[in-house]
Amino acid sequence: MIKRATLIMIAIIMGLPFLLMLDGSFQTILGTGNNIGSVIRIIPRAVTLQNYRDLLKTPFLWLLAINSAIMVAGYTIPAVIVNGLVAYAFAFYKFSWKKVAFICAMATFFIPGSAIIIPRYMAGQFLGLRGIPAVLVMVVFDASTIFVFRAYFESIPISLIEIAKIDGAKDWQIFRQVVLPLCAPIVAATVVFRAVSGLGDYLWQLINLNYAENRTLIVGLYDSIYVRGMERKIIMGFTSEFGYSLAVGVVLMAPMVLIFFLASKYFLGGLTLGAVKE
Amino acid sequence: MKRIAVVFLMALLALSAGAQELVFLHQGDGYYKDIPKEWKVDGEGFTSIWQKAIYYFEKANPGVRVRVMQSDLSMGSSLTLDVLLASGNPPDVVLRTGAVLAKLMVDSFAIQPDKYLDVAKYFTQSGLDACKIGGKLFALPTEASVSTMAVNLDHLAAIDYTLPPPAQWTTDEFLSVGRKLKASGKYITGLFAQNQSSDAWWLNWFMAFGGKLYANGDYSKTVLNSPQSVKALNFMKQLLDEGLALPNPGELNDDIVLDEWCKGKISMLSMQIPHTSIMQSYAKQGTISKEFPFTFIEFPHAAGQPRTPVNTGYAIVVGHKTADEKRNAIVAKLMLAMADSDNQYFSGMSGNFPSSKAALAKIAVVGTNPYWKIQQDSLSANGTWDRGNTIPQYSEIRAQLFPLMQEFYVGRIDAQTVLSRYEKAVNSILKN
Amino acid sequence: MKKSCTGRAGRRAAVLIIPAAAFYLLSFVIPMIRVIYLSFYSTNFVTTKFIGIENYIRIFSDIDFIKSFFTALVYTVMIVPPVVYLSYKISLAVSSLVRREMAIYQMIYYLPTLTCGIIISFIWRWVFGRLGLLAIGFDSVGLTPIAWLAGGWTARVAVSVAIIFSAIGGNCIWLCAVMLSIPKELYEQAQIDGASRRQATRYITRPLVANTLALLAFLTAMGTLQYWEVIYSLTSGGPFKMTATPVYDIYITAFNYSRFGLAAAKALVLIIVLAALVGIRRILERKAT
Repeated sequence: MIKRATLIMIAIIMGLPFLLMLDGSFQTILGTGNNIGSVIRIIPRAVTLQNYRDLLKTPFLWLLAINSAIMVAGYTIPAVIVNGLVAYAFAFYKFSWKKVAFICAMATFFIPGSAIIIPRYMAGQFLGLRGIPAVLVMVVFDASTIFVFRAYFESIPISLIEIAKIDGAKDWQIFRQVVLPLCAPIVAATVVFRAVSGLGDYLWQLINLNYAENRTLIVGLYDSIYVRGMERKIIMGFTSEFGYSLAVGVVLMAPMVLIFFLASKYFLGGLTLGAVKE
Repeated sequence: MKRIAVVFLMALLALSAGAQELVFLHQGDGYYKDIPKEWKVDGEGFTSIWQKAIYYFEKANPGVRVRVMQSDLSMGSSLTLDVLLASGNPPDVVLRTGAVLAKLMVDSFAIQPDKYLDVAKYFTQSGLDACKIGGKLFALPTEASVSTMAVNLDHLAAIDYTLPPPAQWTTDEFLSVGRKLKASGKYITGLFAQNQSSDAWWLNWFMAFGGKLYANGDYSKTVLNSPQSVKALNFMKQLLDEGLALPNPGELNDDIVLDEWCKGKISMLSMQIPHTSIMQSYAKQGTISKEFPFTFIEFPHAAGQPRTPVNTGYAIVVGHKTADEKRNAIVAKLMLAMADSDNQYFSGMSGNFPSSKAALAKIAVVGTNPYWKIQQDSLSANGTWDRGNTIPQYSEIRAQLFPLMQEFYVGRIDAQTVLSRYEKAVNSILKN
Repeated sequence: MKKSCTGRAGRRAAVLIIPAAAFYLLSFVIPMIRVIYLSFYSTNFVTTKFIGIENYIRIFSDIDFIKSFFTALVYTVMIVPPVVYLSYKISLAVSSLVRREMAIYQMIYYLPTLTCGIIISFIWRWVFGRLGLLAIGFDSVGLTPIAWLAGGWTARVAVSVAIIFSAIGGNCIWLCAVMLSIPKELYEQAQIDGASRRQATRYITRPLVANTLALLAFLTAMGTLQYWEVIYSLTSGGPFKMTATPVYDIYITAFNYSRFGLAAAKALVLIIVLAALVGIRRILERKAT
């Protein structure tokens, strides 16, 4: 009983700002949104869909959505496969240079993304990568995915793998047909995190996607906030059409919430490792 | 749908025809008041000023196509431009605030448009001056933003006060009005120091006391460290200590103080004319009960000082120079098309100051708002103060003062220390 | 009990790792070489000049940058323990619920992580700003509100709270997934053996989750060190430059000041310091065992 009450309380604390955000997105709030008074009102105001209507007028909106969908696929599938295979090698193989590989992967934790973002961009340009491919190639390698998968793989009984090997299966097949299904919860969680990352990776996508046609939702919609701010004030950065910013925030979160719910059936009470009794 | 087909078709044509392609980087459409959302000219429909300008440019220069690239819009950031520069693919023409483009205005990068065009025909002298470094013209001006004090006339009416003529508008007068306003429950102004955004709004106080950032265009060192500046700082501290300015400037920024002015909590604040439209929106929305009457007046000046120079900043257009002189000539023409566009007219109608002679002529006929005239008068009488917009390290220099102000406002350091530290930091930056 | 034919295993492992290695080369090695190269130049990408180790010399007298390391340490101490503890406790509670309820709770706890950039800073301004929730709350009970964003340490607390909120959700999802894959039989057996709920948690759940927990703690610490967006929009690194992390400092040096060479040098210094810290910890651990 207490447990549930605490959970609910935490949920309220965490969820309240977003309720406010949702509520505010249905108002035409003018002002810089700097204080909560601009969002909370004692007297309820008229609800309007104007912000969302304006949002729909963003040029190339449907194209932005498609590009974002491409990002979701591109940030998740290659990452799961490429990093998953490394985790597989780490978990089920012993080889002399494993330590070196480990350290190389760990080293990436110490390299802040924003510090390396321009050299990464320059490397991509040098290779002739432009636009969406340039974005996707550089985000595949992800050490945290490797290590989380590895931790999980290590609790898979080696006997399963050995049985499959005796049956003549190759590593790739074992990975796809034995390991991944057993790790459905972790894979699903990874998919969610990578998808969220792909939908929210503003800086990297901003740099690489310079034309209106290849931009994604987050870049295009963020820009539209500033553009609307410019409709009222001329200096960049002031968002005086604040309700609109909130609507953008809501729209940007919506696909992430959707993906979460779609994937949730896999990582909540899905398959467990109780499949094999040692 | 049609527009996209047109874009793709154009790209295809450009590729196939081997047409010369120029890249224009800008910061989004100028959404000034009354800009139409759509034009139809010659059967062509446009939804953006740049589209229209480019259409006419391409008509006048057959064989040239312009590809429009959009820059990141967040304040102070030049990310898109930087990465393009980093990869060796700079855009041909860039339009942006002068301070951000200052680093491009060097011989190795920028076209000198007066070599290809009769610039004086199109732009005002003050506009062109803002684009010069060492006497050489490296860019073309667009509109200037001008800020002076916006004053809430209702507050003054409540204490039965009328603003004096500019010549008598002194800092002592400001203090005395401030005290009366405090008695009536208002703050006279807001100081802020959370970040460097809109710092010109309080830097102007230095100018009010005769302080200067740089002397006579000499950008090898800063001259802010002076007795006049000490007086200015102490004045600002006095405003804070006497409770005439909003408390805790360390957590206030320009957004917040502007909000407070629009909500009628502070009486006077430096801003541009277009900013006042926020107050009008608040009234419409019901955040405040009704619109309040306001006017603009220049910054007060300290007794014994001349009237305070006005804060202005231009957005400019820079062109990328290559070894191909023919290409340079065309780029210069594109620069002109982007600089002297309809945007200047609409920005003028919203309260900014065009540098385009054509736009100014049109505005003189159509007329614009009375505050414009007030700012224009102050500008003509007092001139502007040198913000150092053409210094490449402008952004870095700018960021040196506000942390010192934070410490100053809470009394950790005194005015002279602020100035000495600032001087040391800035001079070291200017050396490399 | 792993496969131990080193030669063949090595080759097989190599096949599995090659794709990752290729991406690793492209997205980390080559850019890092460039960063090292850049650090010996002074450049804003228009004017470039070779200056040798001058950037590094500058860093040693850059008080703000050095201060930011201390700030990062403060953040790590203020953030990682609460995050680990709260994520663990919440996951325990949530994982025992029915699936639909679980999904909803997890979603709500995950919301702070999903929100991007400026919106997050607005939300925290609504809480900590001068006219924010906390200020109103204090006022209504008659206390003077704390000016959270005006004081150095209070601003640090505000930023830490913001980071804690956004770190919990993701960790809960991981932990729940791990907790749910503990075979139910273990719990059933424990129940038959007469163990209480709490004992079951202590002796079954905790050990099995310990590895993941340690990993998450590490990842959270790394994440904290790389956090800069909220600092940028909420406090601008202040007041008194007390909320800036090294990564924030590097970001400003690069993108606001356009000093890309200096930023590259700072990044290298940061990487070396981090590697050294972890290296030292490992050596200490080894000495302890």
